[in-house]
Amino acid sequence: MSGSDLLLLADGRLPAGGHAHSGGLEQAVEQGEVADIPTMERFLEGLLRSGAETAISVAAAACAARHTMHDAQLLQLDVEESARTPSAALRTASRAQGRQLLRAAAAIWPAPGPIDLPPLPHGPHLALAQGIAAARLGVPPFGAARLAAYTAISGPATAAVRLLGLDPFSVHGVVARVVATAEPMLQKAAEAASGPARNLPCGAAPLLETGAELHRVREIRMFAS
Amino acid sequence: MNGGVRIRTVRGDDGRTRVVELNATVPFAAKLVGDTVHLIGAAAAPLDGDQITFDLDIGAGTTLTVRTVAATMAWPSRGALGPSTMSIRATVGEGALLRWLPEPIVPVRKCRHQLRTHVEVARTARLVWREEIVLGRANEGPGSLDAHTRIERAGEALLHQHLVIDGTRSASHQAGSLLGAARATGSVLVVGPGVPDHCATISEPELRGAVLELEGGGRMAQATATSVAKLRSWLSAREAGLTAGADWAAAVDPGPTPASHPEIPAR
Repeated sequence: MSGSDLLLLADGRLPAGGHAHSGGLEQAVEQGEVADIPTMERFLEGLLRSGAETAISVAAAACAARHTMHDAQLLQLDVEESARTPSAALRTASRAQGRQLLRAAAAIWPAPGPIDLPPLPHGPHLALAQGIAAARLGVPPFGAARLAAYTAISGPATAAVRLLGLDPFSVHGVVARVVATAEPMLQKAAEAASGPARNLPCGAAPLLETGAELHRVREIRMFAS
Repeated sequence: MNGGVRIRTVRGDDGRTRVVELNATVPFAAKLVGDTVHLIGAAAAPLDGDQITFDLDIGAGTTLTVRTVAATMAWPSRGALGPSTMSIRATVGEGALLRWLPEPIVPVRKCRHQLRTHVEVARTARLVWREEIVLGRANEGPGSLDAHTRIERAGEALLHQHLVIDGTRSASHQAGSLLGAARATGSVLVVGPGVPDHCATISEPELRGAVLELEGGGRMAQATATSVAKLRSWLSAREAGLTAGADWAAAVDPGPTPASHPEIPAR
């Protein structure tokens, strides 16, 4: 593994479609939940108690499963992540990004050949794809957890710059703070990476789940989710 | 205080539901009227350290509705005995129908309460499961509530969620991604064969909600609101839409069980 592979995977400019998603932030702005730097910071902290925490653990567990060639575990992770994502709009957004990430990873790092997946009925969730891509590059589960944490937080934050015209320096200051608070979570996810999939964190985010459905039926929107 | 309610139903030879066990201990009393069990709070509970357990075994091909007669208040804790815990365990057999329709739970300011829900639903079983949380009494903030829910269908995870109401000064649940300024949140989950394709969304400053389509089958109406009245009114309409049709009126015959059809020996 080269140290810069993980940086490339986490880069928002990676041609994997991440820039088209706001992680629920666009709808939160529409609903008046996020309007400035403090409300955006709270929004991101809420993500870390819900969907982002699940994503961090799924990425670490998928990476570990890939390293140990444990495909049955990938199928279990897929079912458990979907049970933690009741909104079909959120699952669709997650899987669109998961598919694109694996396509990009296979093209950018062609060795050692095509990425073969177990028969996931709906395609991989983003966090599952992050774990699989990280494992392909020799990144350990802790690195996969870090990748999931960083993208889950930086995606909505940069969307806030575009949607609200917030000061980009302040926004990135918030990203640095919030991602730093996730460190213990990454450690925990890496330690539990080979544990039973049913024990994954499962924080609920009611406004995010219903907001994703409300966002999907809006006529004018800048982001896909 | 340790107490709770145990309910067990079996299908009689005439196809009717028999409640063969209905055992309530303080702080709850239970009364069976038709195919509905009404749970009645008989003491100020849950309170510090209380362990209250609801155990429901809904046998194949039986029908049961469970209601509470009033909101459940989780009372302020003085801290010495740890949080109060309410555990709800239910299994719903093939062809059976369970409607769990309690009144809201209110984590009163300074309470520390845990709600643990674990439901196992057979492939052909039907489930209507309501959960409503009011964030504290009128003109008061909420206490701390930690609500953990896992629903499995035919042995596979269908819904697994952990909702935290943070009664401390940091009120972390008020993040715009979690509950924002909502005073009430809740859901009605409908699982089983033939859930109607009922879709709805609402987006008003006082009420946001959507019907979510679960990947493992079934739908869940979920909403956040500025008052429990607005929440209930929207969720009730969704419950009606999601349970329209004769299928949702009663259990169906689960068919012969393997035991009553001994294998015919090969000739």
